[in-house]
Amino acid sequence: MADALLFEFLLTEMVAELWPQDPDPARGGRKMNLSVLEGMGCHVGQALGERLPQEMLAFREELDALKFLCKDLWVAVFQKQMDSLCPSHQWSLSMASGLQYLDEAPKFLAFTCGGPRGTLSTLGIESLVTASVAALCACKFQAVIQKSQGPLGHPQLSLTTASGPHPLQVNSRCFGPETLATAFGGGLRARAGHRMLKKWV
Amino acid sequence: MAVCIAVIAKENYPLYIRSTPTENELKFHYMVHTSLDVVDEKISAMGKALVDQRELYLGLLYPTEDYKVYGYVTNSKVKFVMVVDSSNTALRDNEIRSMFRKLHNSYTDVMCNPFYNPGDRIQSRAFDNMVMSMMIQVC
Repeated sequence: MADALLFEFLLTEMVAELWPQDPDPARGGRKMNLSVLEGMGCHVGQALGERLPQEMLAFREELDALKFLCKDLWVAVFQKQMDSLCPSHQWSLSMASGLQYLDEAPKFLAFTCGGPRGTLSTLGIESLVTASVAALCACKFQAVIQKSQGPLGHPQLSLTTASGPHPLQVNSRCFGPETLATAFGGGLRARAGHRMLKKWV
Repeated sequence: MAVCIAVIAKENYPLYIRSTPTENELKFHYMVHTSLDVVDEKISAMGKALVDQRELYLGLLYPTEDYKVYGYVTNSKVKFVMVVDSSNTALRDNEIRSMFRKLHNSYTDVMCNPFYNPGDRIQSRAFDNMVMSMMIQVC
């Protein structure tokens, strides 16, 4: 599965590049870089949101779009299925020595938060996706859907997939290999000859 | 084959519109504009229809004496409208569907371009070439 590795390296380098060692506190340096990463993820998600549903029938309502996000998109990107729409999403990360690197985790998640947000926005749903790392090898994604005409408040949607901790580990900055797919990498117009990438490019 | 092809955004403004230069372009722009109402009607009708009938291809929107107008909507609510010469009776439904499929593929390629901002006019040469190939008339 060279594709997953390729994407991991790309993501690692992106984070390394955009995360300065000495951020300029006056300009809110770190926050700006996170939003750059998230914006990139958003754009990739938008492209995916166009390409993946191409073969499918039209979505009649919001529920269809959400079902697509949970089943098809998640399977395509992370090769794991979501259990259901409601419970909270957990996705395994592998860490060298857990607690020490908990601070490092959020910057990797910025890109991945942008992904679903982009896809949802292509499908017509404005949302806000946040992630939180509660424990060692688990991560929660929360998508808050903003309804334009709702003074009643925002319905919250938590996405879940059950996955155990990944046994393989490369170094402290890498995710578990199989969990990240190249679908996002393909959205960045990487013309790799591999069949999986070709599908999304 | 096609006389005019238009790509309309979710908010109903044109992202791309191209017609054969020999004809009065304004007439086609007007036809595409009026067809948007029919597209909206079809979409809302589809919403109430049975599950099996949900499709991206909308079919013939409305015929006029010289032209027929076909529609297609994507899941991101981007609409493709195609105006075809009525005299070309050899054009069957399957061919129209395949033309729309090609359009959709090219549009997806445009969306995947990292330099393209969704909502801008489509200026991709590849997309242009694909559309021109669909519009070349058989003399």
